[in-house]
Amino acid sequence: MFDFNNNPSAISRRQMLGHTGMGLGTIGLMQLLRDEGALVAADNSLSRTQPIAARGPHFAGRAKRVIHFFLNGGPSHVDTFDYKPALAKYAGQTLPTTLATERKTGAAFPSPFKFRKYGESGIEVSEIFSRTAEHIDDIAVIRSMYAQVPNHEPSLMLMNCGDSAQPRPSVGAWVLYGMGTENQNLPGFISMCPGGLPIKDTENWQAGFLPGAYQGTYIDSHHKLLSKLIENIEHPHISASAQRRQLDLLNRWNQRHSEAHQDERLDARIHSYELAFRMQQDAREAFDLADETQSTIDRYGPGVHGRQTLIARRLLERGVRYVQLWHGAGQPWDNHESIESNHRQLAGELDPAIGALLTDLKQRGMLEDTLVLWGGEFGRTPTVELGGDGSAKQGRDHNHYGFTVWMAGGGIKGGTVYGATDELGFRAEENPVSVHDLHATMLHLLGFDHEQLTYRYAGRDFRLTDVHGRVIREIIA
Amino acid sequence: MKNAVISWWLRRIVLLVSFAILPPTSLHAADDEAERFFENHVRPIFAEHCSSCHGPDKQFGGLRLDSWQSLSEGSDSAPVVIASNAEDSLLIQAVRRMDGVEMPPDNPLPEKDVQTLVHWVKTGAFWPKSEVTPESESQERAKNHWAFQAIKQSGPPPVQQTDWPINAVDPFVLARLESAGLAPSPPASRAALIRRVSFVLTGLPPTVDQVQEFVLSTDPDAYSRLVEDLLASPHYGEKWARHWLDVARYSDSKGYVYAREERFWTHASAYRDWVVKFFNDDRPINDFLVLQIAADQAAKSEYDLAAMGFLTLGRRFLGVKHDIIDDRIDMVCRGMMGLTVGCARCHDHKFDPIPIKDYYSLYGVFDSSIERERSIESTDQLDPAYLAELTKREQALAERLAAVRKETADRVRGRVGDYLAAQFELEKYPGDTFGQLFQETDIIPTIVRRWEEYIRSAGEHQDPVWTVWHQLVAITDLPPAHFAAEAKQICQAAIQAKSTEVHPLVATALKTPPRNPSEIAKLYGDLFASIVQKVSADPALLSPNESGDPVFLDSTLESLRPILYGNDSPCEVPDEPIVEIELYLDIGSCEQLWKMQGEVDRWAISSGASDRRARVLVDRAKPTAPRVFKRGNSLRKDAIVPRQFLAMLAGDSRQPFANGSGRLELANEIVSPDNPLTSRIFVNRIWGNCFGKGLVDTPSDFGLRASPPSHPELLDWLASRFMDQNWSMKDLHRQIVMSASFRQADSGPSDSDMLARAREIDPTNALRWRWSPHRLTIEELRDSILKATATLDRSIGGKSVDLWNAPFPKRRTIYGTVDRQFLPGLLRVFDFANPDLHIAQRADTTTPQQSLFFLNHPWTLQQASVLADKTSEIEDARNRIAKMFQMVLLREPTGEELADAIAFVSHAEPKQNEDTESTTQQWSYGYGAMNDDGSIRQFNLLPHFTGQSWQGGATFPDAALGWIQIDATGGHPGNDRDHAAIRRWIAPAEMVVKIESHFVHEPPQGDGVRVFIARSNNTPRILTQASVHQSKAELNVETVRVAKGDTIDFVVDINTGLSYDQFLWRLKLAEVAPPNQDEGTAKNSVWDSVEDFESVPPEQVDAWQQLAQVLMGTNEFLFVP
Repeated sequence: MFDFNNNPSAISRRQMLGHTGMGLGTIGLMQLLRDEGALVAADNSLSRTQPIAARGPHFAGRAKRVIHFFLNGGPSHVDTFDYKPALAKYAGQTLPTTLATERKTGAAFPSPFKFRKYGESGIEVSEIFSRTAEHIDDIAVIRSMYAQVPNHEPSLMLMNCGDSAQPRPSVGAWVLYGMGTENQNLPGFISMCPGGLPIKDTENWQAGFLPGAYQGTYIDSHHKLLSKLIENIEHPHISASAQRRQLDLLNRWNQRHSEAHQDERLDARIHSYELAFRMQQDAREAFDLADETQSTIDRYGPGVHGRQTLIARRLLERGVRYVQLWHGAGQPWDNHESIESNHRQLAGELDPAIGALLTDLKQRGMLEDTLVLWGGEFGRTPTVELGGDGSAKQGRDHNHYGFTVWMAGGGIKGGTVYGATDELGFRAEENPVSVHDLHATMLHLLGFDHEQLTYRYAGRDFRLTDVHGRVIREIIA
Repeated sequence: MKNAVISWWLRRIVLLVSFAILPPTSLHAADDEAERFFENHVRPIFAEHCSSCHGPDKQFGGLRLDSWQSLSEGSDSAPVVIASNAEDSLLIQAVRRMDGVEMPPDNPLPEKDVQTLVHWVKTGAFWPKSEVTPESESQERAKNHWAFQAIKQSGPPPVQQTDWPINAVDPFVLARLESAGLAPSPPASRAALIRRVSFVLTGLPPTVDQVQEFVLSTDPDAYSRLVEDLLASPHYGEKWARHWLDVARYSDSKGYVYAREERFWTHASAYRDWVVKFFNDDRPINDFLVLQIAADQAAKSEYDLAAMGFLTLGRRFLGVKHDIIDDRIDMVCRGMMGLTVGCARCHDHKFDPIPIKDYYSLYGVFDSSIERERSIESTDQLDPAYLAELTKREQALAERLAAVRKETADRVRGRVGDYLAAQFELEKYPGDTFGQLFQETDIIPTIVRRWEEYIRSAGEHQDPVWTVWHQLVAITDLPPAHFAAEAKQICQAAIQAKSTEVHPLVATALKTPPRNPSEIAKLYGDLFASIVQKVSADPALLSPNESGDPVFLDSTLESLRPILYGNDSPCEVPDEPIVEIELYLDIGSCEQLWKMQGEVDRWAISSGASDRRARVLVDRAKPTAPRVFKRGNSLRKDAIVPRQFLAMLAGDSRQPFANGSGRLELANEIVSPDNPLTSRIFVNRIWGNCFGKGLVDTPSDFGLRASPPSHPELLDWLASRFMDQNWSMKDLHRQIVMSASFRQADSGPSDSDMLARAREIDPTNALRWRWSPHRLTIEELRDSILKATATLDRSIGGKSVDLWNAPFPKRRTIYGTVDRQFLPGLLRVFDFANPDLHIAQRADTTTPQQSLFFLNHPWTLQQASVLADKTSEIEDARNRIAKMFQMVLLREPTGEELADAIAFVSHAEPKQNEDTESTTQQWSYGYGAMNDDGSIRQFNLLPHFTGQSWQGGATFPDAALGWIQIDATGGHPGNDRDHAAIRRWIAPAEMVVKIESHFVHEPPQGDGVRVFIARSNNTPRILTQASVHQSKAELNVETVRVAKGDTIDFVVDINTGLSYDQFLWRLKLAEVAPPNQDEGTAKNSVWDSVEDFESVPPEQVDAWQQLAQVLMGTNEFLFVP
């Protein structure tokens, strides 16, 4: 789409920057340029000098931004959004399935949680996501996801980067590459994970072969100090006014230097200092919850997930393109044992926050163009996991044959269920949806033809969905 | 006749196997299912009913039903098939005979076939991908492609402006400019030129003295002498090695590995140093390439074995062999020849003439090679204690490995019947990307697959043991009654066959023919079990022959032995390192062996010994015969291909590789002077890294999609000269940097019309009408700043160091640890090459995060402070400013700049101010000994900061300072009373403070710690103290008066012994009103040990430091004109 090998266009960068101003102003300019047919020329240089400047996708998308709740470790679909009453019928019996999973499992294991119907759509949801379920009429539940293998590492890569083995750009990086971000004063793609990194570490939000500018910015949301949230976001010792004086001097000298040397990158860099200066203040405001009321904070729930989700809303409001919220370091949802207590606790941390976020987005009119995605790297077996000695551990093993994700907002048809697993929830049977299909659908909602959003690397035009992917039109409003 | 029958059997087997083994819902399976449906149901309909009119011979209506392109783009009228939309697809309308189109014209399709086509279209109209480009067309284009033509030797072209060229490069450049009606720029200023050529050749700027000397020199050879000096500098190799390390996706760590394995390489830095030295020594580049592929066979010194890091330091891909080999193929083909052979992993290359078979020919080369790691240091250079421990660990590993291999083989031999039964339900045993955890009692899929391959291969060789097996397997899809009858016939025929056709023991077993398929496995299984039983009852049956290998004396038994015993037996685990064989093992053994391997690796890495290690590939005793994997799926094996070079380069005379794996032959083919790609690729990389842009702008892809070279004759001239000059990189550099083309100014032609014309017709400077300014890479940037502050450590080579955390080593950036799993965000922000992937050319972006680095990064601030300190003795402000300009920008300031800078420093705000009323700077973190009188002996600051805690070094506990550590909430005392952990507070002004603190020692073990609060300015020094063990203490001090600079120390040391001494200590100092004074006079400052503990070490920042920072942040510093 963009060619990084090409050099600057003939457009005067200085002229252009004079118009752009900062942040949101860029969009207007991009529109102007597009109308004037100048964008093609501008794109090449923009990708170098302002790689994350906002730009339009292939067509008018329904969603402008994405928030992804990543329940890392693999949430159990049969305990959350894929009700399987038949499990009770077979409780304790060995199922006739021979699907291989990572470890050995035993008899059918009915969900310990109560399900009931919610909303006008009457979709069944587990009690542990009751607050989320209040929004079920805005949600499309995909119950027929499948992945390739029952292991975390490849499945995380598949879900996040579209390829389970090779180093490839993450979904957020592709989106940023495709459409930039609306607020140049904040990173365009932010991954928050409290307390450390998930499995596969920063690979989950990598830029792969795309330029580093598209990589996700990692934030350990456990911290409260801004300096610990974003690298180099503040000077440890001097004030903003002292720094402003530094910048004024630097600008004066850089301007003088630019006059003698024709290179758009010089101007771009002067501009980027200004953005960096503003970013310090904007980031402070975005991450500081002081201006939220106590009742808002309470609605999102206590603890780091409430805070993280509320910060995410503030980031989305400020034009951040892609926010990923992880549940925590490692793989919290990987409940091989005692799933009842573990899932209840984990969902309890997340459910109020998701409910409050959906409420707030809707109230602000943002839900219609914000795509909310919920899911893990795979689901869990409807059978009970067996320990080495053959004893049941009251947990579930990994299940990539069938699992659930859901989406809301951003052009999604609410109150929909798409696809189904078999009677017991082991394997996607009706309308199976691959991870590539999910990605194709997300890109479509953002305004991209997933086959056209490409980047030339190693002699090939790569895309997020490789050679696969089908847009699931049935869940689009 | 018999052969024909067998090959018919075999075809059926292949079919059966390829359908049976797929995991039913894997992604590949989804496509495979679509493909199977298409091939079995859809294509036959087209073939039977349509192809006579819409096929290769006739295309009525412009339509071919054997080409997806034709189907989707449509006939003469409209698209014939719209995927997923049956209603609107012309094909469906036609076969339904709607809307006047009726196909086939004479007889309607049977309803079943119509339904089949509808289903096919509805589900996406799957079409096999490999048919996109007809082979012949691609071959035709390839034949004429510029990069595949022999390198042409031609002299420099004639030019008009004959006084411009300096050397042979220039006429090529000038001729292109002149033919485009353009002119070159005037020469760059001498100041710009020396800076430029220094960066290009060594990655470092010159000193201000060197600049002045060069500018003032009247020696006509001054430039050429400068170039020679730079080429001879040891920093030359460092600069150019880093470019190659981008190509070689260099990393000090393996990338993601399971926690059981050591995640750092033991051999990476030796490889990096080898590249640096190779370039410094100007050894021939053809040797450079050969050694990196086959040093095990081509090296003349131990040291050169390090070269193979090129292949062996890629990602581990979770141990999946196919991906590791794919990475190696990509490195060799794209890195050295600019061919994207990796594209042919799943299907024939779409653009270049690289069939899938050629990919698997190379796959076989690497699959026939295994990794071995060893020291390349001569043992007398190494500490005997280090070697003794290393040997001990290696032996322990080797012994356990041998034991595990034997235990595993015995287990497999004990249940051969089960492994044979598994051949009938292969779908239960997914491929090696599917990670299941196995216990000792499980059937191991890798071994099942090894049996599968063994039996298949035996069938191909008409092995008398397995012939009947294959005959029986081929009839397993018959109904049960038929099966029994037919099996009986097969068995009767076999019993009567010659012993060379059917093994006598098998013939005996066949006297009871199998009644159902599962009895085939049982029949063979029982036969093998009986032999294993005999051996375990009487081990003497297997007696050593003259070469020491155990054999059966009984020749009938002996002919079955290789199936059960011996290295090639499918029961045996190959005699290879754990990294090669982990998939054969149960999870317990696997983890245990990795742990022991990790102990070997960690000892080599962290012992402090400078043991250079090499990880090489060596050939397997018996090379493998590669098979094509259909669609890249290792479970769908297709035809066997020879190990051999690429057809497009080897031509008609291609011969299979004959020596071992063929790696050396492959390497020699790559550097053959007849190979049109290798030298072109290399010189283009060098040119590109000198000019910022190659003559071909896709440096690692010279295939059909590559754009043509901007200067094809120059590329060929450089490539052929390069080879003539014995592949000398320094000679190549000399040609480039001595040229007038290289020495142009960045301004463009002095004639303004000419400049305007150049900008208009060649805005990207493809024709080199000027020098394109170069933005410093992160390496050049960091090295330049260190050079500006006169702190750069210029030593060459050695272990990698963590550059971006305090105490910020001063080595050149190439020696920084590249941890591909935790690459500092900063590096990616500055477009550092992604160490996971072969990077031909770094991106060049400008982002706010880069600016934040200049504004706020602790290292930048530290360097600014160093620069301010180094000039602090210059009292006159103007002189000091001038000195700073010289150090950073290598020139004097202009009058205007001087005035700006004077104004800046004289109006700077005081370093403390209201916004950042900082309470962090009063704290320091160190160690020392507590004297009995409460004074501190030898207080030292702790040298290493992790971002979370202060401690002795990057590894904890530190070799020298031991367990001492101080973090926000507490810490750990050092190993003895001389290493008490001391948190020191220094009074910023005269004041009275009050101290409140809460101390906790939790562990029941050990005997706890001693705790003191002591002051420096008065006696008694000790304000309060306690001895705490598994308890808490409130240590408070009501009031202490301090003068500016006095210290209060918070000291923890061990009690009688070192054991479980970690502690928590939160403390607060609050400024209070002095006794007898009004409360209002106190400023109420509060120091809190937790809140004030910052991730950044405290620095003093004054106006001079701020000025130094501005200079380092200028574009003049960051760009090379």
